[in-house]
Amino acid sequence: MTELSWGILLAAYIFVGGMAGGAFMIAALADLFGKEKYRELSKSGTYVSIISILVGLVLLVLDLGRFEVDPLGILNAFRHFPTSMMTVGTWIISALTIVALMTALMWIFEGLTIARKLLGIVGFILGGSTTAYTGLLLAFARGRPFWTSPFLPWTFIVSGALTGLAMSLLLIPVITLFVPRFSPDFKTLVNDKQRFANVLITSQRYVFIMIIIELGLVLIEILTGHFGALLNLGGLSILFFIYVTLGLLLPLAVAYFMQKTEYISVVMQARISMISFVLILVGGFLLRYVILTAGQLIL
Amino acid sequence: MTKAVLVDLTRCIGCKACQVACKRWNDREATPTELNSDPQLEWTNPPGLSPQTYTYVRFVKTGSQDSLNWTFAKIQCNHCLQPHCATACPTTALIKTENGPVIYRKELCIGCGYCINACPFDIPKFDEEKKVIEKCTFCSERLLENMEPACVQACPTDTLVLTNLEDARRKATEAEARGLHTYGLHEVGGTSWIYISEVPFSELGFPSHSNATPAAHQLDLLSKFAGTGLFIGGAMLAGLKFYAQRREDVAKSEGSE
Repeated sequence: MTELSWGILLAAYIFVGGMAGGAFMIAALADLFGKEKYRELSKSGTYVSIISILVGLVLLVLDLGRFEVDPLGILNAFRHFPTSMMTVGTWIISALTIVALMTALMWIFEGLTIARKLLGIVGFILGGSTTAYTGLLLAFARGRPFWTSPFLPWTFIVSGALTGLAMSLLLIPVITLFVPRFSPDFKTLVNDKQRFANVLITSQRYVFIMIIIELGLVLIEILTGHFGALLNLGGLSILFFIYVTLGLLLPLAVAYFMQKTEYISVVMQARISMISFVLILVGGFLLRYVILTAGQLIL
Repeated sequence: MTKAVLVDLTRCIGCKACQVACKRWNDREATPTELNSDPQLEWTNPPGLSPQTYTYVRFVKTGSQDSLNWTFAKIQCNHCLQPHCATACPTTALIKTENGPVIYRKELCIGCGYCINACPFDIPKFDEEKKVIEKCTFCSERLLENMEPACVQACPTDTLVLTNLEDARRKATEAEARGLHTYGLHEVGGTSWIYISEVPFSELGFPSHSNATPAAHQLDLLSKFAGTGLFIGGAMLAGLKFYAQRREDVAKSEGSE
């Protein structure tokens, strides 16, 4: 059996990296086409992007385990541009960090709206590229045929956008609860139960579409025989099953029934949505972990 | 001149002199070993590569019980002409040198492990303690002094022959014409260590690879990735159009009622 050079920390890094890119893509789209209706979502997505990148950096440093010996050594990862996909990803995620930070400042100080929207276009491309990079990084690894699939990066892109959206919507009540002063408009939104429910219901419509696409991609991977091995890998198969059922199918059902608003109170809508978003996040992590581990086991 | 090694497995007697010479020259520690758990490879010892083992001889049983045959296959870094490990390495710690070896510069390495996953032959091994990659160096320092690699010098049967790349490729091509099997002439765009064998390499546990170089491999994946994107985008647009049309139809029928 081959050694596992990439473990749970790297799976977590790929997960948060994808979420960072996906959250900024959603934030930019909400800002560009939301007509101010989804400004809190856009703001929250920008914050999620920055937090995820910072968490990702910590995970990467912990995974490399060389910080005490050579704290600046990680900067060597910028050297091999554009040949190494890892270097390309390092440059892309660095550029996304700058764009996300600038956008966050514009949100905090509520100014330069046109510049923020223009930056959103650049950030959308960088966000998409960041999520794509996490998939292409694996797909390019010639020694791991399990990862060599053009569908894998798309699965990660869709999952990145899905988890980014889920985390952005989760962050709004979390900030309201723990640091309400940081963003008073989040508190206003959460307290305006009907408007918050409207934002959630609209978001659930996109959650529904994204889950359908992700399920389609996973199904294609299974039918083309690529993910077939995942059905017979013991503990990993169980995790894969949990990802599909709890991370995709259950949130899909929630997203569908959220459209039948007449049966559910607005408070219940928000609560069920939040639980569904947590499941989406768990599923997103499981997807990365299962793919990363299976690829190193199946040669 | 680019150096290469021709590995003629038809000559190998499985003496493991190459294994010992490699350990001695590269100052690799002796480690407790075990027999390989694969019944077809059970006499292979050590069972595989490790940070302390840059090369080993695979003892492969071939044929049926009545006509049991042994083939001995020395395994080490193949020093690809266009290495996937060096392409993947974000820090340029791994590079292909002009005279053949793929060398590792540990002062640049950040221990990301991408080379381990990128290598088509599963060669680089990670030393968890020192946080560095270990693999065959082609004895690059010996080559610079016009010496043979330690394993080549130790080989008593001329299974391993140091030559130049053109010569190695020509001899392997001639062997192919004689009906023998080769490995490294075409795989992953060619390697600096080229094998000849009477037994198909698939039976010796060598991975099957196309002749795609790292650039060709990446370009192929990128084009398929873009194609998949166009398909997904097209499907989404068609879905949206259908949804919009349906809403319009429903609105019209409700209006007429």
